[in-house]
Amino acid sequence: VESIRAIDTFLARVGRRLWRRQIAAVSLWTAGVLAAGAVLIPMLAARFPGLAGQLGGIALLGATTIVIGAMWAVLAARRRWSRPSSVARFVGAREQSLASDLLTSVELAAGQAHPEFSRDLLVAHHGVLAARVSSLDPRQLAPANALLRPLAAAGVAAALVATAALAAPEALRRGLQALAGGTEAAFDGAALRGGPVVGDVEIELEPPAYTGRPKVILPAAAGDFRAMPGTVATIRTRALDRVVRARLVFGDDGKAADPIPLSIEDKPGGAELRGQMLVSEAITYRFLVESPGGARQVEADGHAIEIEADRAPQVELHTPADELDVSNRKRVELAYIATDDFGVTKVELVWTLGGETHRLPLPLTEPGRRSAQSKYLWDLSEIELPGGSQVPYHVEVSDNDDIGGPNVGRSRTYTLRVFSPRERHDQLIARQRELFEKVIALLGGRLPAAAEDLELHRQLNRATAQLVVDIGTVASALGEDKLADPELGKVLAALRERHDRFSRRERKLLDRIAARRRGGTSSERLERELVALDREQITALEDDTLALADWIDRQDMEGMLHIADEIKNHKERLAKLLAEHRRTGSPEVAAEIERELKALERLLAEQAERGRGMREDVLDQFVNADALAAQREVSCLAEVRALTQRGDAVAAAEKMEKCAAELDQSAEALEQALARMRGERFSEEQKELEELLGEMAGLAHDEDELAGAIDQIYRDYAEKASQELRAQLDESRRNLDKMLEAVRKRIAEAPEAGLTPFATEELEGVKARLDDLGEMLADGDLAEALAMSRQAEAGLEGAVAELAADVDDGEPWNDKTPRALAELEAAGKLAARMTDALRKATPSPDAVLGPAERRKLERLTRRQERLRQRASALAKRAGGASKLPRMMGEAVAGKLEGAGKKMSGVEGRLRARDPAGARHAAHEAADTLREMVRETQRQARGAMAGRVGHRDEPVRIPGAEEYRAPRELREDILEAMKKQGPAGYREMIERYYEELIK
Amino acid sequence: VRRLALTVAIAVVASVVPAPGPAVAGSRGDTIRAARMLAAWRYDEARELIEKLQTERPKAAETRYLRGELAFISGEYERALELIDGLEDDAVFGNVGSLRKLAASTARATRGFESAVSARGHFVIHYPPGADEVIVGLTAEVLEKAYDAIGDDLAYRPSEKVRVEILSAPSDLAMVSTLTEKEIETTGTIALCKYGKLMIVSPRATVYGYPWMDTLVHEYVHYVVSRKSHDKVPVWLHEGIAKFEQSRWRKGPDAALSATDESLLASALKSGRLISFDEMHPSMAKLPSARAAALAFAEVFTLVGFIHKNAGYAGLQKAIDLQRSGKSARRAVAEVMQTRWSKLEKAWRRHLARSGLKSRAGAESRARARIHFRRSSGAGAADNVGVDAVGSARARKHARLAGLLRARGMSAAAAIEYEKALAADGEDAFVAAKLSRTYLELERYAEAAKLATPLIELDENDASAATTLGLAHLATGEHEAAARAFELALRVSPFDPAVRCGLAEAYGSTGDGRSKREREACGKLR
Repeated sequence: VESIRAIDTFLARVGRRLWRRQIAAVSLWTAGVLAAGAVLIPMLAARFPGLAGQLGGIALLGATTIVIGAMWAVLAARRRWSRPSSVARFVGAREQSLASDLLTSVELAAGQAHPEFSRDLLVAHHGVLAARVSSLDPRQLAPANALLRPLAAAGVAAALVATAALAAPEALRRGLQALAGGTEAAFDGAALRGGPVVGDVEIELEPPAYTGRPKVILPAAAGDFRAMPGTVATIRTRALDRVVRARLVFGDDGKAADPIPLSIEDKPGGAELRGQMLVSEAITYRFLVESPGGARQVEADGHAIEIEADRAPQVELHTPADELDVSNRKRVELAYIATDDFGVTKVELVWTLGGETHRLPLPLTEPGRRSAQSKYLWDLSEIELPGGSQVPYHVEVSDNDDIGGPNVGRSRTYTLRVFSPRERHDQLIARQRELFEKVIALLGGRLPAAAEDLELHRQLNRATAQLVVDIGTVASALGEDKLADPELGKVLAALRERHDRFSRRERKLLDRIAARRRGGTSSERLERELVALDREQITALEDDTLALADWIDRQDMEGMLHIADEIKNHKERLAKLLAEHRRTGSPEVAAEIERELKALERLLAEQAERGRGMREDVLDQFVNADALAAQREVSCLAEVRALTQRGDAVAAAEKMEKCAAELDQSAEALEQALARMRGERFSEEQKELEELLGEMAGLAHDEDELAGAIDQIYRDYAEKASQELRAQLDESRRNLDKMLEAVRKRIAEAPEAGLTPFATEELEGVKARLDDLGEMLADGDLAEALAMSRQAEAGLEGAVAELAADVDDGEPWNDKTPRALAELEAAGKLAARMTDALRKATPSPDAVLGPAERRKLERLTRRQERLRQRASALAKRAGGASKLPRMMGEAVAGKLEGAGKKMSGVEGRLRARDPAGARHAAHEAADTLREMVRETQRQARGAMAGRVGHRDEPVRIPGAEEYRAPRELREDILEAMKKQGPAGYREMIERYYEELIK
Repeated sequence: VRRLALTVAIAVVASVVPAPGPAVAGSRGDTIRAARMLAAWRYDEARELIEKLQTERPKAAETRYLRGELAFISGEYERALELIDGLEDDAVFGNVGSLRKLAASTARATRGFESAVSARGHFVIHYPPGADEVIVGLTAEVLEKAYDAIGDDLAYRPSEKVRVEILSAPSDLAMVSTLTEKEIETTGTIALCKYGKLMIVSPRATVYGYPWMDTLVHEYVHYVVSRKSHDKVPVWLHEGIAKFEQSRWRKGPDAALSATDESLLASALKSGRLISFDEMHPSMAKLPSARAAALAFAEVFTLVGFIHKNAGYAGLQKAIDLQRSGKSARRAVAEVMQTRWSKLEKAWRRHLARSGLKSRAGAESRARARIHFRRSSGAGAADNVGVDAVGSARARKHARLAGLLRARGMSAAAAIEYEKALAADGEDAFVAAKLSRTYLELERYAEAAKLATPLIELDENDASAATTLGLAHLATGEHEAAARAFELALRVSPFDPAVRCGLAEAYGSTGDGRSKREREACGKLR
């Protein structure tokens, strides 16, 4: 028993030691981790105050877990080391010689020995074992050095805590405070002072540069001020008491923003405090001062900083209508007026198509100005709008705010509804193609069909019946197509009627043959009838196939020609642009050239697509693919583009001339091809057209000849007039030369920059006429000089009217326009005087013309009368022409009547014995007739006439050009604007007037 | 022209510069002689003189230019540029500038070319690697045949290897010559013999091909005549001999005109608008149109045929020899014919008048449209080329319908319409060609062959008809006849896989050794 007790005691001692050691290790680890956490978590909370809550939660959860874990470890150790067997195993592990004996002893002592086990032996075993354990020292079995590692960890943690406390006590404090959810003392513990701590405050405000506003000083202010974000505010004041430190603190507790230290400069009457801040938000601020004794005081009442916001720009979009129905090739006139408190930098047209938003920058003459307005022709053909689509659009304007980012204002949203008569017409042509394919398929089926094959004939009969229905559908759709030729409708109606008849006859025959066959009687006669009917149908189908093919070809060719007309318009515009680019080198013009090139290329591609037509045959010859590929050369227009991009304006313009010639040739070839086709396949119509065109061309030719005859008389008259004038010419010449120079000088003084493009163009003509006038004066040809002077005067009138309208509408081309207007008005007056002088200097025709010339004039008057009567008769004939394409006869008649009026004018001038006036009028009448022939040719291409005009005329904003504010109102406003408003309100007044003018 | 200018220029210099010492005076004479030798295609003699000049006056501008010219003629374009490097363009009376420009553009056009020597070594063919490889063997074969035939006829066989350049595009022809692209396109010029070499544009560069084998031989005849005559023969006679001899590589002497040439000549005779022999100078390619060029070729062809008929090849050889010795072409020809030129011309015109030349509708337009550098544009133009030329309105209507049906895969119906068209105008070649091809589609081979055969007789360069015939014979197992037909097509359209593959099959079946070459070509083109 003794031995057992000794062993138990030994094991208990070792167990206790082990348990204590475990408690110590767990405690050290726990303390170390908690200490490290106690430093790191507050530091993190100080760095990320916003995460303090989460960090606090994490810290709490972590600490709890660590403590619970530690307690669990202690209890587990307690349980383990209180079990002798565990301790025996531990000792056995260290003392190998005792390993099994000690464990056996513990087990035997616990009564686990077999009943038959020898007690003596057991006692002896315990005795020996007790003796052996007595020599063992529990301290050696469980040494304390196992605690070194936890001790080191705890030490490191302690060092960390100490370092943090020493190095960043503030951060630690803030972090702990943040974790604890506590708040600092308001104003850092400074005492609130009911009265002021500083004297008057002077504030200097420097608004952000983009506003263009000057610096403002608010003297003797209470400290409150209003400023825009981005304003730099410099604050100056004097401390009422002695101070060693001062700062600006923000918010109700001084913590809304970092304090701004103030500089202190001792001055007589008190220390001057000075500081600077960048305004970014509405806030209150206070002065916090510290006396030499360390007492800190802060104002009880704060000073308010109010924010003056940069407002988003406002934009008004003017369109032809809220909801506009347009074809997809139209140009739509848009106008916008945008205003901003500081400056407009970008204007964009924004539209949505197929869920996608598209943007197009609109012209902005002077970015950065407070108001901007412009007109823009939106070319819808550039954006490929599918027919039937609805396109919402608006304008977005951005301002120049570079502090908070540009503010964007947007206009009302308008909608375009895209409809395209041309697209509809093209769709109908596509349906005609489908119909054609059915007709030819039927022909292809009938041609090889054996007469006895009844089943095949039934199928063909069904196809014929279906064809009748299809023809009816297309014919009905044709009725709704305004661009379709009604003649085609007639053709289709006849076709439908014919095949309907065939279909019914064939069905009856087939039924009867079938019945005969079923009845076993002879159907030979009926079958012969069927063969004959089949032949008839084939013949009809052959004709119908070709008729339809011809109509489709014709419409394709007409379409190509109309595209050629559009090409011509673009080509002419492009040539003008290239000339302008050559003169100015302007990038805007280059961009416009690029747009025109794109439009031309698109049209050419469209023309080529139409030109492919339908398949007419199979090409049996082998075609070398390489040779075809080599033809895909760089197009002429691409070369123009490349030259323009290279900046070689001269070469680009020259190349364009070549391209234009090629395009003209191609259009001419198309025109001839269409005329040939009409002649070959649509002969009656062509005959009537050719007759009409021939008559018109004849009339134009005769009028031209008449003008030539008048020219001759005029030349004689001019010669005689010059001779008569020669004596007094020197005197007149000197005077006239002076007048001419004066006009030229005035024109030269008109600043070019102030001229609108139209006025510039007009002035070019005026200058050319003045040059001619100079030459005529030098030649002594006063009659012609008078005509030139009249033209120059008319040109100046046009330019003046243009500039006056431009100035009057309140949005002049630029600020030099009024001066240009004044100079041109003066030049106009001088020109009028010059014309008058020339008129006076020119003898009257009566005085100059001899009896022979007068008789000639009378004869020419009668000739002109006869020509006019011819034109009138031709107009009547054209009006009643039955075989011409739709409406064409009436249009020609209308134009001929117009030409007749011009001829009447010629008659009038001839009767007045005014060969100069008659000559111009006669040439004009001849030109009108010639142009009419060309126009009629264009119209004759088909029923799509008018498309070019339709395309060319943009959809304008109604009334935009016509509206003028009443003169009195405009004068009142101008007068009022001259009056000075009170300082500080001028800007507002200016804006008010701007609005009023608008 | 350039070389002539050089000769004249040098002669002028020789006359105005004061006589120097004997050595320098000798050099100047050699310079003039060398230039003349080059101009007269006497390259070996020119080479000797230039080598001598190189020893005596190596740095003289004239010597360097002549060396450059010789290098250019020898096909060493880069070397030619190196030799004249540093000389001003206006040196040697501007000839340096011309040579530099031409050598540079030729070097550019032929850069990267590969070469092959003909089986018997008489020709070196330079060609761009790639698709044109399939005609290199054919080129060599045709030229070797021509070497023998022309050598016998004109009694001249070049001892040097003749340089041949196959060019990828008409624009390349402009680069390697002094012709402009416009001139090439206007006159349909497709090959040249100049600068001691033959230059030909690959049929691949034309839309429908052209009779390239005869053209190649045509240019070779020019080469032989230039070499033999020391380039003394005027253009009109040159062209006449070349045209008369161009088919000799494949058949005996034949003075028969093609239908198209006959039509052209008949119309010109009727209207009295024959092209004069003077108008043909300096080059047929400078004539105002392809039609004028075709008429001129037809005229000189008949004149040479007339000489051959009366004086044989011996007469032609003598005429060339007489010109080499300094006699004018007119005198030489008149002497051979033992008459005066004026009488000879009248006799030739009488001969033409008695020949019963006929003008056939459509034949002339076919002649004009033979070489297409571009495909026509306009609605449907690419497909129904020729339908508008069908004479009878009724035939035209049915032919158009047939084309429309055939384009939509309704061949049986199309054949019926073509038959109607042919019934309306039994002689129309366009309709017959279309119907024969439609029969081929319908596997009615015998009928297809029957229709295609007379078309080839009418125009031996009708590759489409020849291909139809070849395919029809191939389908019926008549391999020899198929090979003959395909060979005709090959003379125009060597890049058509149907021709090369058909030929490979036909040769293969008849045991012809050329089947390997055709199989390879077929594999490349398919």
